[in-house]
Amino acid sequence: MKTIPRAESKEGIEEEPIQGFRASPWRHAVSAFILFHLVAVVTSPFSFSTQSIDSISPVAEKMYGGLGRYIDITFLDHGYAFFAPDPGESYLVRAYIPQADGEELVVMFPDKHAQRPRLYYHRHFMMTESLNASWVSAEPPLEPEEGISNRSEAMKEYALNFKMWKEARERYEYQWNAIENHLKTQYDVESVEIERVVHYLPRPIDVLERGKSEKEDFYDAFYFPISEIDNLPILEGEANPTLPPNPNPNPTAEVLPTLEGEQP
Amino acid sequence: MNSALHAITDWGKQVFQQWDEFWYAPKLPHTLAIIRICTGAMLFYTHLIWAYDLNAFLGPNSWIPADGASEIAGQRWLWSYLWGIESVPLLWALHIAALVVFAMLTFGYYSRIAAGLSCLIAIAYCHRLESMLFGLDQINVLLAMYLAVGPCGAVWSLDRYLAKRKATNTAVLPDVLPTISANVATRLIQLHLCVIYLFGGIAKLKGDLWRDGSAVFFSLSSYEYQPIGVDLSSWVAWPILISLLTHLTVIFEVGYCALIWPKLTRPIWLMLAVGMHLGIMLFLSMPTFGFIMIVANMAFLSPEFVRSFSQRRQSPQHDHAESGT
Repeated sequence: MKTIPRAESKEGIEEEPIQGFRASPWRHAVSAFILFHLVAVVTSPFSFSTQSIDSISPVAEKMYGGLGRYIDITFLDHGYAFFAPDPGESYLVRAYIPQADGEELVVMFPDKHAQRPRLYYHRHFMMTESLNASWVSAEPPLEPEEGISNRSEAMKEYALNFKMWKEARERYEYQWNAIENHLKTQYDVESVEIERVVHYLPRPIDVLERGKSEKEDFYDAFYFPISEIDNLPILEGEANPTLPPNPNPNPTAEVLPTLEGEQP
Repeated sequence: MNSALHAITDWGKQVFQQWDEFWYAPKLPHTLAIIRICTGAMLFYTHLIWAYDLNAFLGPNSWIPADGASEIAGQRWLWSYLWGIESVPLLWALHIAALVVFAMLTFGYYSRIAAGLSCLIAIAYCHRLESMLFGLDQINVLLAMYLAVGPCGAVWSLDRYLAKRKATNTAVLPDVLPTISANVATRLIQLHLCVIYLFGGIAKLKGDLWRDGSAVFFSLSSYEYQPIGVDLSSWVAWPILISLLTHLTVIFEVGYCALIWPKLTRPIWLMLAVGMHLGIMLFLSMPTFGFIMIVANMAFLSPEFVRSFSQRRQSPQHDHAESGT
């Protein structure tokens, strides 16, 4: 019978006779599966960190192609890019709900005063962030012009892009409609309108100039509705000199919808 | 030529030996047990919050309807037994069953089965509620997955308590022995954590604000993350502290996969992990995420160290029974 060194314990036993897992062929199978699993664990964040606006590392693409199904099934599809590349603005949803008296109820999601406990609030926050991250322009990709060289190749690429755009756009519209429908049921009304809202981060200079940052209304100046046409903030009538840069229209969402940036 | 070949062969053998030692050296189950208790409790709480408004999250007119969650999944190989279920009584029955499984995991009743089921249930909820997830859900699932690999209920569990009761009537209480599967489960958690922090750090290195030392301020200044009534002006007054915390975060995350292993640096990195995640709990209002990350980091505590805490509180007689000697 073989022996293996046993982990040092207070009992002082140094060796333990075993039927020999470490000597059995099963060890190789287990080792192979561990390796396979670890490669799968690395593949998703590796793919995420090696993608650019319009391309992805061929190595990462190959790895993902081979392991994607296992990654999906086991819920390993994460980039782990918490608060990265930079902490950014928040994306919310504002709902306009008509009332029986003719007034309009305006509700913002998430709302940390209305939604408690904090995890309950955070679920709504992630939902509105997710809606924003899945935004895809309503305009389809442009068809290649007549008479260009390699038009047949360009048309193949266009067909693929169009299919991706259509699927992504449908997903976005589905989420949008689902939120509206849920609110109609919740408030028992015929129609609800929603809009996406961006909430920019105040900079240190804003805090110094405006002060009173512990007051809730300090943050009001940093809300802007987002245009559904170009996914940019609508600044009309909002002469706010302190708008920070980096509106981040999330250009990668169309390339790899499953590898969006993450919030912790 | 021969000596070179020998050197390469020896190196190859050493690699295999080290691999075996790393994965298959038996380990006591105490670290896994404490992770099991915390993970089970967190899974229970996480799913209790879904129950808080179950109709809105999972019901027929939920934020993302049951029939549409699979459509949003697109071509991906996602799965969930909750897809397509619109019957509210059935949803409640399934949800209560899920809570029972998480309670079983917490208290260690049929622990490994409960861990496996917890993992499957948690994934099913994640795939059903994909647009509402964040880091907490990722860590919940990975911990449940790896707990199912090891004997997570071998100590501090109902399983152990029932075995003790049975032993008084029939046989000798089996020892709490080091096992290979406890080591494999612990190693998987450790390595997965290294991957998480490494890619978290790499992603931050791409950001201007993480490089110029201001990212922690901007994280704190997010109204949606911060606790109610925070005064940012006190943070503005401490730019050096903000900068230090920002750089330390990146150094911690990028360095974690290397410096968590040596005995000399492990305590420092574990303290940094606890400090960073306490900060997330307190200042970014994510107590659940901060807590579960600290729990995951416990995988780097040796089982002997974890066991020593319980032994200090046990009488010698109890200790005798626990060790089975």
